[in-house]
Amino acid sequence: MTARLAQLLTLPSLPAARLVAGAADAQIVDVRGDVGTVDEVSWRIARSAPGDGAPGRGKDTALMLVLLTPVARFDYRFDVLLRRCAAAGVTALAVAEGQARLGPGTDALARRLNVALVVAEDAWEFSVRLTDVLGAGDVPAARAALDVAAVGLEAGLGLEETFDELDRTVGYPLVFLDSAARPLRGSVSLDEDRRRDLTGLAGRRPQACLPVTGGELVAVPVSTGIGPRTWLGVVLPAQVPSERAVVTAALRVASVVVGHRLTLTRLVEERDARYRTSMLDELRAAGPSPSPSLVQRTIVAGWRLDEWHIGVRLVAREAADFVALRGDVGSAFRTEGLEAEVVEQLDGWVLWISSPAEPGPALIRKIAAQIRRAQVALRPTIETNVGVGSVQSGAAGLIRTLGEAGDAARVAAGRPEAGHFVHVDRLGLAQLLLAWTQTDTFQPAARQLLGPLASGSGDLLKTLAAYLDAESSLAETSAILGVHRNTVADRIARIERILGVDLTDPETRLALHLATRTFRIEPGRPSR
Amino acid sequence: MTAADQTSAWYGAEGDDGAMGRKGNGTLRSGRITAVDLGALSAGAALLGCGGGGRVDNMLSVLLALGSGFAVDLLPPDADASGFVAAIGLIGSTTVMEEKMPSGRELPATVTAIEQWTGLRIGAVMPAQVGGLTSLATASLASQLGLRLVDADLEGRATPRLDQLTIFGPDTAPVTAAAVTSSGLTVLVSDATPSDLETVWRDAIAHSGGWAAFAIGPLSMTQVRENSIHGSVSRAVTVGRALAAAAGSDVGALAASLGGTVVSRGRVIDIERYEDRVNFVANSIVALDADTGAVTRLEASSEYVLVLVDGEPKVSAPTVIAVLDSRMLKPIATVDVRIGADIVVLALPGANWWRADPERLRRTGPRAYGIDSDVLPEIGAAPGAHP
Repeated sequence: MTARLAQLLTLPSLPAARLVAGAADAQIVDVRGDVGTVDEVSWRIARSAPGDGAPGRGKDTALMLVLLTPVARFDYRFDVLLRRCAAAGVTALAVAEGQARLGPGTDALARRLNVALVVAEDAWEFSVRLTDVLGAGDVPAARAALDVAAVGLEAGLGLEETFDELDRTVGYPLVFLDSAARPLRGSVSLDEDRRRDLTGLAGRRPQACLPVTGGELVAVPVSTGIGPRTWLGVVLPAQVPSERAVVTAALRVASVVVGHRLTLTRLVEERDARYRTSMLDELRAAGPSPSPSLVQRTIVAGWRLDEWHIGVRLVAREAADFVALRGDVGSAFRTEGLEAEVVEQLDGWVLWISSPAEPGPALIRKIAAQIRRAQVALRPTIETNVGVGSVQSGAAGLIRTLGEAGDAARVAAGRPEAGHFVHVDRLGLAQLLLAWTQTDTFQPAARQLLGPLASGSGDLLKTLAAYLDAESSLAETSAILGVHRNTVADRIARIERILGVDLTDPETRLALHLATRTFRIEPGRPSR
Repeated sequence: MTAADQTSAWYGAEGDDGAMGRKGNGTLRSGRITAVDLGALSAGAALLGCGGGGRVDNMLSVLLALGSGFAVDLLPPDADASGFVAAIGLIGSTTVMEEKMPSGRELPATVTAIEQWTGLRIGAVMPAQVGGLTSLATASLASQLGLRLVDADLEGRATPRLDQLTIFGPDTAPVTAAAVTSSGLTVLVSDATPSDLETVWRDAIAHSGGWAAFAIGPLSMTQVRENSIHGSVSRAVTVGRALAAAAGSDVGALAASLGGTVVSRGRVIDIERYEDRVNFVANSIVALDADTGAVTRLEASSEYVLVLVDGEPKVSAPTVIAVLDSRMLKPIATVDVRIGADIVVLALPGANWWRADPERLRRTGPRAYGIDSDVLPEIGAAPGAHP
């Protein structure tokens, strides 16, 4: 294969080497190391005939010659060597870093003869590695794969630590992309089209190569079996095919290593999530006096139960991985200056903010504003309904404020105009009652109460709700529902008959009015 | 013939100096060097010194101060003459000589020492090397003692070591030679090989003054005729006159008039000087020709020995290699080359005597100067011709 000298010199698999004279765009097809004094090497080049395998097989050889023996002096002997190299098609000459001074005279002649002059720290290593790079063999890829496998076996179980080790071993900083090809680690500039290219390839190709700013992105998918597919990639500045093959081999092993770490991390997170959730459940069940052992566990978990708390409930409006997103929630609150405990729930999270002293009204307003901003900040990640409870103290108070927050979150679900955000301290009487209609105690009662009306078309239920909302006005109700006044009167009479109630009784009207709210908030639920 | 036999033969020739042909047919029309020729001799010797042999300027000033009192008759080496010749030279540091000027007694004392030791009279002197200071010093000695100056030398250019002189072939009998150090110490060595001389004299010089004048002899005219470079002194004058005539004009014309070639030109961009085991000092000088891009490298000990252009060896010793200031066309000594200097490299044919025998070339080729290169063909020789 052919490669430009400048590209070769940037490869991390080669030991340090620098161009000291001549053209960086010299083409290199082959490499050959030679041992001996400058005179001996020079002699061999001069005498090499075409086809005998010696350096310099003709004008189009594009050979890099590596002098494995250090050059004692860059004098006329080296000049002669340079001339013979130029005549024999050697486009680049590499020498070992040494004591000898490489002066402007040698430099000028190398330029003159168009032979690039490279100084390598370790000429032997340079020659061997360059042979690998330019050759067609699998050895470098195998070596890279083995090296990465060793990292997989020896590096710690932390993801970041593993990434750092892989960076060093692969020789390029690794880029970690999420399923939408957004970088989670490292930076790479992918426009929309490229992202689509990459995500479109998922599962169909074992690797992808995309042109990006500053080179070429080589990426392989990371599959853990759980969670979405991610990508592991490297931006190669030099487009050297053999280097791409080596890096791809390394990445494919690295993807298994990273997948393993991701699975482990996930396992730990799941375990912690279950632990937190069940501890909170126990706390709820324990009521005002939790057992000493439970208290002890909460202390170990860092929960400051005996302080003042403001409960927050986040209910996701879409399905999501609440374990994986817990970190995002915590950091969204931290960004707003709120240190909150976060516990995963089936439909989102509960959080609470603890403080040793009771916060005043001004502080509470400020905290509520911060929570609202955190909700907004989370929006690109996940849409939530947020409820915030009142200030309460102690373990029992924590459960109370979390309950309030839960009720408020339910209210928030029906309040897009408030940004799906409800703070209990601000709830008016109506909303509080409405919230009460959503509690677990009221809902079964309401369903039981209105159950008989749910059979059939549901017209009776709609009519009852509209009638009560319209202050028991038949005319108004008929206008709202678009049916005749007599139809409304007839339906009301049937409702009174089916339910066995008298709608002129204020108590009955209130109970039924609240019960209708249960159905109105959750229209999708089949009414029975 | 043993050394003792030879000594007695020399001895038997005592008093024959008067028979030495005083009407030689040297290349100079007059056969005589006078004060007006000193400038040309000095400049020519500097050029033939190939960058070595010591700076001629001080010695020239001394000789010019003698004014019209200076006159020397040239004796052609192939003249039919009897009598004995002493080869005169300087050894040690010519730089020290510039600080520690000759007193005027050192050179005559060397001849006197030889005459005293051998009982033979020296009738004529010749420079051991034509290049550099030695020519002028020998001429001054001849003038001072009223001796004739043989129009020949033992090198044809300049050399750092005594064993490179023409007389020291593989079958040369040991010689008698005397050195007088700048501190006045006389060291006479008889039955000596060149390495004996080097060993004894260099030790003496190191302890006594830093430089010395020496005389090797007595040499018979036969020896001189067969083992010397003929016409060296008159060649120096010729070259010097050509230099003077060419000053400020084209170097190509100068080269053509002397049968030489302009090898390359350029501005000096790199000089590396390092200690050398064989020849005390080594220089590698690189000049870049801004017009053509050609890169010239000069490898030198105390003299220029090898020239490469673009990595291709072009000229080597024993060909005369001179580096001239490109504007003034004045020879530049190896020690005087500076980065940024604009130079032109001139090659003149060397002495044919060296190329007559591979053994001789071994003593004067680049390897004799510690530079591992083959002897290159003489300039103007047919391509591929063996040196």
